[in-house]
Amino acid sequence: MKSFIHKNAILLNIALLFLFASCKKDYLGVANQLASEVKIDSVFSVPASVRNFYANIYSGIPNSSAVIFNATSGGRLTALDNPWAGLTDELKIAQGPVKTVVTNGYNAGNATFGRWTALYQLIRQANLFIQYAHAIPKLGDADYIDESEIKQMINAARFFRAYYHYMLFEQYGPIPIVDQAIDPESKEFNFPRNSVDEVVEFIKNDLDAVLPNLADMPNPDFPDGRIVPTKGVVLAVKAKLLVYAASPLFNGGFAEALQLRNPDGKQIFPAANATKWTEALAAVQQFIDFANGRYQLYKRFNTDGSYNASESLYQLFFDTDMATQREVIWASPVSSWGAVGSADGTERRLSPRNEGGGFACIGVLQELVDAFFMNDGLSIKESPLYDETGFTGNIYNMYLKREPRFYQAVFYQNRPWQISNNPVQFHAGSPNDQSSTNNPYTGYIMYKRAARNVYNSGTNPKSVYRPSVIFRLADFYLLYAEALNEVNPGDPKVLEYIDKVRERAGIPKLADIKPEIKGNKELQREAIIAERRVELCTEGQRYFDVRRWMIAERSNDEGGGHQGGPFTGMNMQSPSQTIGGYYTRTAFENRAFYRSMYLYPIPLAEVQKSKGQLLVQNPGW
Amino acid sequence: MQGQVSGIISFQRSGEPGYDNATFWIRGVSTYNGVQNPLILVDGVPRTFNDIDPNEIETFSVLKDAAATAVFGAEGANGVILVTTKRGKSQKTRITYRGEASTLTPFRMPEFVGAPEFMELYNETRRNEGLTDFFTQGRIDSTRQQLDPDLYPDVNWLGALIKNRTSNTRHNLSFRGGTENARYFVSTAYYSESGIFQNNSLSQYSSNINLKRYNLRSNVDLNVTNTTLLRIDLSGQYLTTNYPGSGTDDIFNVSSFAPPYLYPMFYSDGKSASHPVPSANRSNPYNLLNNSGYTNEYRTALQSYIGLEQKLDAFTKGLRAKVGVSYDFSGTFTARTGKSVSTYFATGRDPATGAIVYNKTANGTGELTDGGTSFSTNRNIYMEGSINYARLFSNKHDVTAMGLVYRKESVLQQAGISLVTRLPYRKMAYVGRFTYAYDRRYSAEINVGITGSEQFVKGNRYGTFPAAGLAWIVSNEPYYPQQLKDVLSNFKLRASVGLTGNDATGAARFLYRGGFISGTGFSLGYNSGGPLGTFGGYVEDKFAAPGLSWESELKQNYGVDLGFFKNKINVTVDYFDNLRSDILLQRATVSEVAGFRQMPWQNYGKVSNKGFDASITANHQVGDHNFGARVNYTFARNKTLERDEVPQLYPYMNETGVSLNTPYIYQADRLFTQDDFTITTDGNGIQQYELKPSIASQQFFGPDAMLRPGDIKYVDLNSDGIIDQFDQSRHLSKPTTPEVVYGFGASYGYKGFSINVFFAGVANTQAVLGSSVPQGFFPFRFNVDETGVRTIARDRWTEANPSQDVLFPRLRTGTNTNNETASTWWLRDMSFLRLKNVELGYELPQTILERISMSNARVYLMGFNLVTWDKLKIWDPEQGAGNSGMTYPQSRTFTLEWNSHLNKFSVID
Repeated sequence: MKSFIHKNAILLNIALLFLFASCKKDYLGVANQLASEVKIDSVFSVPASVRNFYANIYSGIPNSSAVIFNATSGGRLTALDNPWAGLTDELKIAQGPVKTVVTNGYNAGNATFGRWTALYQLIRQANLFIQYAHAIPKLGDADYIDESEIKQMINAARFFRAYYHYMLFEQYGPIPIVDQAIDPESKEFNFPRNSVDEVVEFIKNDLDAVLPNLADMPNPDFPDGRIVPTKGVVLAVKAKLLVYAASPLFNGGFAEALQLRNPDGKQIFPAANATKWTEALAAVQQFIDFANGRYQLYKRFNTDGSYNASESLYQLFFDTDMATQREVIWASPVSSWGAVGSADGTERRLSPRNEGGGFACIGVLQELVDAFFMNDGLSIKESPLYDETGFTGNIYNMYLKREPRFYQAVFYQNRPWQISNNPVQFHAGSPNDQSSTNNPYTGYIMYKRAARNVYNSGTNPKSVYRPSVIFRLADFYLLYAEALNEVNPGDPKVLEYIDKVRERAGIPKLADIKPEIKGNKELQREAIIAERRVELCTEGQRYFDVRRWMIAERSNDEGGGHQGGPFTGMNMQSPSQTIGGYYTRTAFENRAFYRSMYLYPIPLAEVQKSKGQLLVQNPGW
Repeated sequence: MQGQVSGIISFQRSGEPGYDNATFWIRGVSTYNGVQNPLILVDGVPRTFNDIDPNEIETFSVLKDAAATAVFGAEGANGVILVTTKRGKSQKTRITYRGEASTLTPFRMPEFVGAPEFMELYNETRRNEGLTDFFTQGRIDSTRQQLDPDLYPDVNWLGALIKNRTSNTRHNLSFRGGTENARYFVSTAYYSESGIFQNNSLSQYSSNINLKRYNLRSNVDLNVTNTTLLRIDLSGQYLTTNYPGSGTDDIFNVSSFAPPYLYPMFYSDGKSASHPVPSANRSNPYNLLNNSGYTNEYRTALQSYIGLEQKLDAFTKGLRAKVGVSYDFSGTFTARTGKSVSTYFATGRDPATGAIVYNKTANGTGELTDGGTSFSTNRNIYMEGSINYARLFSNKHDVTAMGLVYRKESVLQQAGISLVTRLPYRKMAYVGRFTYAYDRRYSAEINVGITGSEQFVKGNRYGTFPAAGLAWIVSNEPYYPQQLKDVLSNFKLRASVGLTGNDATGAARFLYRGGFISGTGFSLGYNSGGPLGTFGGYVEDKFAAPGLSWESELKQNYGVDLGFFKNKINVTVDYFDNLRSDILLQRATVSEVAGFRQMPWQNYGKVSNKGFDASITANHQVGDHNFGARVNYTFARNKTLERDEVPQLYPYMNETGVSLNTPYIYQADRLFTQDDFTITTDGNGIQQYELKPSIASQQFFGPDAMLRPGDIKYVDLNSDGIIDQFDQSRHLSKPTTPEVVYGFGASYGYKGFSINVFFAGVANTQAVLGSSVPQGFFPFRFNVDETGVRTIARDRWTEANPSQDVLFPRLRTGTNTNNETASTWWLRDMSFLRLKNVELGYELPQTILERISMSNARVYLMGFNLVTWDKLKIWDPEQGAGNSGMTYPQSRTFTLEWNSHLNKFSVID
């Protein structure tokens, strides 16, 4: 019996030994093999991660070149791209959500182009940086960040916090101010909206605070840091902010918004206050004064010394030389132009289908075509040069004797394509007709900012790099004229600053051809509206301009600006290149615009999440 | 399995050899995240049973309630399936040979219209939009008369690619026997199955699917001493397969995108044909199958187990100790061989010579090329040790107790995988069980499992999962009347309640770890060449969430077992009520204003799953006549109770309170009629349709001006005059996974003859047609050159026949969101009943057997999936809406089987 037990005990022991021989102390501690969890303090103790964290704050800078396709977001446009040109009375984008949103409209639950989520994440990124970043002293040869560098970085982070609030304000009106990183352990995440005045004040204070610590201009020897905010950038944001705040939409002009109340009774849109234009003028003046001698409108001259408007308007977007490029105040290095043929982007999507595999799917609305002046500086309604009744060669007279900006921006029927010189055609049966869903719908292709030397064959370049311009001087000259006109229409500088832009565009000055509008607030205002529409077209500004001016319902008879109703192009259904055939203004779609669209809806889910409806929705949504 | 066992909800979406495993759940689903499938234990070790030969299986059982699953640790939240393989017996060696040969016919594939009808339909579709005809009558007539099949082809792609018959064979030879001290079961099996693709005999390789499987098993039990049992189990499965170079799903899908009129399978002079502007969706299906090479998969799986069981009656009677170790290995080696061919599109014929004029669309060598290989393996180690005690005292007190410890580890081994992927998955558990039964009348059991998972932070790794059960055998009571016992011979009541757990939450591993990850980054400068000063970016990742731990499920089960007429009829009915709590989810109601990139994770969600299952079996013998019948029924309905859902605008939009997998759809009212429009005629004589103001705008899907009679009109659920996403409801459909699975069958035997019939079905399930691969379902969705048209399109609205009772609304060219959007118009009942199995058996008479030295032998003729009754009709409803019916089909199968025992050859005598 005893030996029996003994024998079995041995067997059992062997087995148990076998079973637990491989016992590790912490059998379930598998994750110990992973790098330890990174805590925020350790992020800010390594210079490389500080710089990466910092650079990420910049990633909300909008990309004005992505009007149809953004390769980095899988093709789809985001609210930080430039869907705006296709969502306003400028372009017809034949692909993606922009194509259908214009006609189908949207509601708070499916609005695609809200900046809300993306920018609040970056505001948190900036807040974390402001709260946690500190100098990493130099010890030996290792990388370090000294006090002055970290101070500059924190200063820039603070600028971006303000700038992103500004971008939210531009789209939604007043929004909750977030001036510190929210604790994820918080019990409540419920944020009421601040008022317009509070938001503007908050942004302005931050901008004023960061201003003294910034460089005047980028260091010409250090293009690697070229878009780090400078005084010019900050003053530009401030000027735009205060012009927005003085404009009707945010300044008592939007009756429905005046009714909005937070649950505590707070009115978040203020009643009209004319002195806001005085503040706006001061801010634009501050920028103009600063710009004087630092920035100038981009101009190129022929070898004989004569001015070359076309070359100026074209190279404005290509010249990256800090010595000669003095108009661009701020640009994003990100470019969605891509390459013809391969790396997809705007360039390929605007190219004709029969020119190296293009898509021809960025159309220009007839309404924009009609907005361009004639080369005598007058509108098509006013100018004796305008003619819709005949042809010169194979070109419809509608496209002749137009201003240089027209030829920079629009590709029309039978205009010869670059490099190949083949006339581009859109009528039924032609290579860019409506048989494919990739067509421009209007008979015009966007050409503004497109590179003229790319071609998808042979040794021609396939792509040309250019940054995406955010702020350029012409915009601010026109803002200056606008603010001056609102405060003191008699000031001769109103026309003077519009004419600076017109002069660069190669057309006669208003002061010369329309002296009668001088001092007339209404007429000068319309002249500014007309000039901004043409000068800044497709750059992403018009969408916000028609809203802040509240002209988005204005009929053509009242001066135009309406965003809803039928929009037109040439009749691409017609195979016949005749007046009455292809050359017929034809409504191709009926766009939806409701008054609620003056402001973008706050995402429905955000409003629904907010207990006690603390976060109030914009009017009409 | 479908309908065979109560409590299992299962269906098979595809019939593709090697990828035809059924999806199944025990008593349905009770979580919206992560793993929903049960824990499967083969011979006590966590393993799959997919490739085990059916002849190796001795028992198959399903553990549904908490008390039963507790023994297997805490991971029983989704139920446990126990499979045991056959073991040796102390008997003369019994040699069994079973061989079968089957012939398979694909079950119900979609059918497509021929080219002439296709072209006429497209012209009609264009006329629907006020456009001119695309195909001339001459073209249509030339095609119909087959004047020139190169230029005017008429291809039935699917019909040309698949055969209507294929086959499989199975052989199994097993040896079962042993002496008192050494017992063994040894089995070998071979299985081969061919796919249904038409092999192109011109190629130097086969592009049809072919699968061969070899199985080996040796289960040995050795009595090392009088009280010590050593168990050595070894088994292996080896599969070699051949697949076409393109994915099977691709071949089927693209067959539904390929137009019948555009290009032939190949040109009459042998040139490979293609779409004039080829792309992935515009591939020639013939080339996908025959000219894209082939893929071989070699799957190897080995399982080993050594166990030692020691009786310890010497210490105290009824005590046993057991230890066991298992090491399993499985690997798949995939070798691809590619091929590309030059392709052409015929643009006409040379008027002089009559030769076809081609546009070359792609360059290829026509040669096979190395397409690369991949190799992926898994190793699994399982170790357990247990002490068991079982003793009956005074013939009345039946006591058992058990203490068990186990560890298991599963590791993915593959080149190039990340550290976090290759780290082992581990569990460690302590299980205790105590049962007590008194006088075969009352019994009680208590189980506790304490299970640790590597998924959670130290301190939260272990979950404690207790369970208890009670049973009362009323029929064993002394006062139970004897007369009643003749009728209700067995009457047992059962109840159990317990907690089980789940750590396979579907989310990333080690979710509790917070940290930072690289972000978008940005460039801080540029020059003429491009961006400069580029930084990678660095952003917050998940927040640290050290509180995360196991999901738990409270399972209640109440059952009754009834045996009638001396247990000739047995009835078992169980009601269950499962409540899954602490489901791991990412909080949804945190405002985005907080700026979090990842919302915090919490154990937060709740799902309830209730239902019942029942089975009835009956056996009766009258003389030589044997009658048998059985019925199984399972009903399970789940409901989301909490998922931190952002409150929706209307209650009918809420996911909370609704069953999982319920489609979120619009309610189709009807098709528009002339009366819904104000119709005016413009200057060019073109009719303009304007929706009457009383009708809700459907602009959300596209301009109202495009709407015409024959388009779908939706119900304005919120009555705001606009159809938009707020008119979608979760209350219009049954779930896409069936709530009811049932089966019933009968058998009859007379002497050597037997017949067995079994039906199986599912019910309470619906699906939305066209929701998956819509371009293969809606005619002309990707335009005329990228679409096939199914014969079901004949059932459509036309101006001539403006019927409401049609499958398709007005046909449109291109995408038509208004008509294609998921709505009750496309909702179909996916329930079905199948004559799953008919089996005729015949036992060869002894006189013949003796002549061929066999102890017994049976011949079977079997049919599977013989008849299906369903409401869908247009494809196999068991596939669901996936791929719009273009999935490798299940088959109708006839099998001839030979099953014989050779007793005359005794290895051990």
